[in-house]
Amino acid sequence: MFAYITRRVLATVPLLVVALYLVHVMVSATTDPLADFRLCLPRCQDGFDQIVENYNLDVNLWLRPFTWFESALGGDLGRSESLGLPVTTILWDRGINTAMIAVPAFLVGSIVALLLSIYSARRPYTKGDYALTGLSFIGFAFPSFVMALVLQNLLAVQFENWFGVKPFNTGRKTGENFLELARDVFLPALTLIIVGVAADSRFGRASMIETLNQDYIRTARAKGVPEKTVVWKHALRNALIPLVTLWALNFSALLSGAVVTESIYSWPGLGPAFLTSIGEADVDLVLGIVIFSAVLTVAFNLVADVLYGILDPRIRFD
Amino acid sequence: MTAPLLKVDHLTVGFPSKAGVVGAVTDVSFEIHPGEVLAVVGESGSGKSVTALAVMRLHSKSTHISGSVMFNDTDLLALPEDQMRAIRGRDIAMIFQDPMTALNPVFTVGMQIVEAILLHHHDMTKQKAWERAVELLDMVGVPEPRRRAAQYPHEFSGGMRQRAMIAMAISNDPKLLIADEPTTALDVTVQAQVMEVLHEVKRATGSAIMLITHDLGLVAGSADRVQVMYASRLFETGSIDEIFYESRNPYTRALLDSIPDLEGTKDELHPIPGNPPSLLRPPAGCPFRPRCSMAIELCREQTPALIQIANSHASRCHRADELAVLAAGAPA
Amino acid sequence: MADTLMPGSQAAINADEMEGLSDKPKSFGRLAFDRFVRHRLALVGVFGLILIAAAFIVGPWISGYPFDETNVRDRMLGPSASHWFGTDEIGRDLFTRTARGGRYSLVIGLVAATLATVFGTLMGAIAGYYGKAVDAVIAQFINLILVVPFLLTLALFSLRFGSTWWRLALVLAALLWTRIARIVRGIVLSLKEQEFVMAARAAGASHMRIVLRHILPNVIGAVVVEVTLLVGTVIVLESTLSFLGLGVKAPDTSLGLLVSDAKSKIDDDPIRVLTPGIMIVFIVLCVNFVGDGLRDALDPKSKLEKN
Repeated sequence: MFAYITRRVLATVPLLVVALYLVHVMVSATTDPLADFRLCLPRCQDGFDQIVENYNLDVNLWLRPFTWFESALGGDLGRSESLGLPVTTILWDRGINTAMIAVPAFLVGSIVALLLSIYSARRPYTKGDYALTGLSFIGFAFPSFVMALVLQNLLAVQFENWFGVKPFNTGRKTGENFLELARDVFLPALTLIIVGVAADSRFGRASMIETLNQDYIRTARAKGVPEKTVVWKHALRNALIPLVTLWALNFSALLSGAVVTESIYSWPGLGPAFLTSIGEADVDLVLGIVIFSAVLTVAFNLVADVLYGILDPRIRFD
Repeated sequence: MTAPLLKVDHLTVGFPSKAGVVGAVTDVSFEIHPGEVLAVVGESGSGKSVTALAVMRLHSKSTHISGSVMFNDTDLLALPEDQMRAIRGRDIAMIFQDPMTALNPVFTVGMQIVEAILLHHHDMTKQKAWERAVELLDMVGVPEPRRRAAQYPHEFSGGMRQRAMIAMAISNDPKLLIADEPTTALDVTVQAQVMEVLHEVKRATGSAIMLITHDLGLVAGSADRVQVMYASRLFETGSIDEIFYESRNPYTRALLDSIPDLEGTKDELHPIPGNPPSLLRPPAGCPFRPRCSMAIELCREQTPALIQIANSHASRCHRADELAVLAAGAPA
Repeated sequence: MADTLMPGSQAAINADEMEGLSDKPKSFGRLAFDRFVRHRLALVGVFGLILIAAAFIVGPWISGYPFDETNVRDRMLGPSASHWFGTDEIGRDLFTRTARGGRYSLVIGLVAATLATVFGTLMGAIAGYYGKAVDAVIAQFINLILVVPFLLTLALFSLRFGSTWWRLALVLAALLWTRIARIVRGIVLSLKEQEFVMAARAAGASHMRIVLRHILPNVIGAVVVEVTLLVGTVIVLESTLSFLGLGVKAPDTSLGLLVSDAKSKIDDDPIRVLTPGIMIVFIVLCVNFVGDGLRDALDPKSKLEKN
């Protein structure tokens, strides 16, 4: 198993290097950090030179990434020009903020989706199932920005005092009081939960229905296994196998920052930072976030593979 | 004659579908006596497996079901679910067609047998149940049972899995064992071995067996009585000799004709022409009429009743009496 | 006796005796069509899409305002008979603008999904059919696309090349073909080993011919479902990009941009955010209904599940 994990990690390194190289070239090629300075030359020669140095603009476009790789190997991911902080600091601080909404959103969302899937799968094509399927269809059709705006307006107007949210008055205001923090987390997390549950529960329902139709479920019933045990032991264990991969993807995506939702609720997570970095041609921050999300994706995929192997004895790591 | 172990009366099973109710079993009555092997024969879709699932009450909730299934004087169809569950696996156990899919892939074979034992022996320790599982695997001819019990189903071959299924089914000494096409999914050589295990089990435990199969050849050496089903109905029922040598039903005869003969005494195979009828919109009259070589005008107008021919022999055919004459000269 | 029985039994199976036998086998296409038509949600989806497309195409022609005509006197109007969805802060007719945005959504969705499907199917078929090195290269290429956040690629592309609708469709297609490629690759891999393909190869058929004649027809079912769902994905992505200011840009408009324009006024005028927002939801919902219907219609297993 250890050998398997090592092999998997090593296999992704060249891919990541190529991706980072291309991203670096792409960002450098599409954006011009000097745009503002060109107009005022030669008056602002000092600022111009400073930018040239910060962005290594005197180095050829195709060679520029190597400077970055060199320092990155030493653990230095550079400095964000737009936010004026070291990239590692930003990733850490913003990552924690993102995790504050990502972790509850993932946990609650996954559990709710699983419960709804089981509910639907146990009574397919009944009223209850149709109602849930209909709701998930509707939820799934909502782009997250529409969902976020609708929730914000609905809850901010209806329960304004409770949530204290006004448009442009959202975000993480304090970190001191748990209740206050929970209140600030609530709306962005709820948005992610609704959108996520809508997508996951349809997948979960299909997986659970397929499992409940398997021959071994009939065998279990023929043995006299109580229906509860049939569902929660015999079926669930099998239905979880495809879900684990989905969860890994979801969680790594959420932890890399929900760009739209965090931006709308002015949540100071990785998402808005990513938008800023793109808008400001902040190469180092762009690369930092790309690395961050790539590492998360690889890590969670590995976790999923390991769980896969634990759940399904047919999988072997070799 | 002893009291029947299982007495099925006027069993009718229908599946609702968008286009109407599909009649999967129509007015089927039969008995199984303790220690007896009853073979239920028919093409796929004839209702034989549905009958078995109805006896076990394993059909889905939306299924329409009527009639009665008396097991030791208890009507299974009227039993509350928790009491029915106590009977499943303890008094009536079932072996399914495809051993590749009938075992749960994520639990060890031993654990699945242990679960079956513990469900009906609440006071037994897990260790004792495990010992019993190993014994059972040994009994059905799984080599190295102790090691094999700790393995997962995918590490078993098809024949070994079916043996494990049998071990699981007999773990509570059931009075009735329902084997639904137990050998269909297996290689020919393995089929014989599995049938041998079933016979062994019957000798050792004395349980009655309801053997469901489409293969009349399999029936010849193993059953006491045979009942032939066609298009959801019972077509003929009788002792093994009555069915094989004195059949009074054209469908049974056609089935017998279609058995390949290993000795090669038959010059050609006679497959039954056409397909079984739609169960959604069954034709008027005898359901076998469109494929029957002996059909007459009456067959188109009237569904024949099951006619008693001898004590244990009955046939559903308007011309059952005429067939008695033909029987003497019929090619066996 | 066999002489008298057998010919009789054969004669019995003539046409007029077939009534009452199993339903006559229908072609797969016919069966799928029947199942699709019986799928109520799918019909609702098709009907909804036709309705909304008609409204978006014919509506502006009836309402009579150009999408970018400003009118300082009619600013910030609520819905009325002359301005069905009201007007924005410089007096532009919001219905006409919503219709224009909706047309973009539909067109970008269709074009991008079609391009992605054609390319994805081709790449998947090539990867699955040739296997080995070709497969590995394509797999790494797909991984490369997936490891870079979509938003980054889309944003950089839009910054560099501008964002007319067809450029947007093109770059969306360039990012979204991977899923279809993987699905097609999987199907082709399993088909390749099957006897009818072996037989064709043994008969000396060329690679091209085997792929076109024997493999693609088997892939079409899965692909048709995927392309429908992809249309929904594209519409959501496009509106999100436009909302973030990275897609269609002013003075042109799109549904995402309309939501973005209105969001600062959400407290006073939530309807202005809701109308384009609900349009997106409605279109995607209809598209997904159609996709669901197609899945049920084209997947032979789904019928069993319902019984």
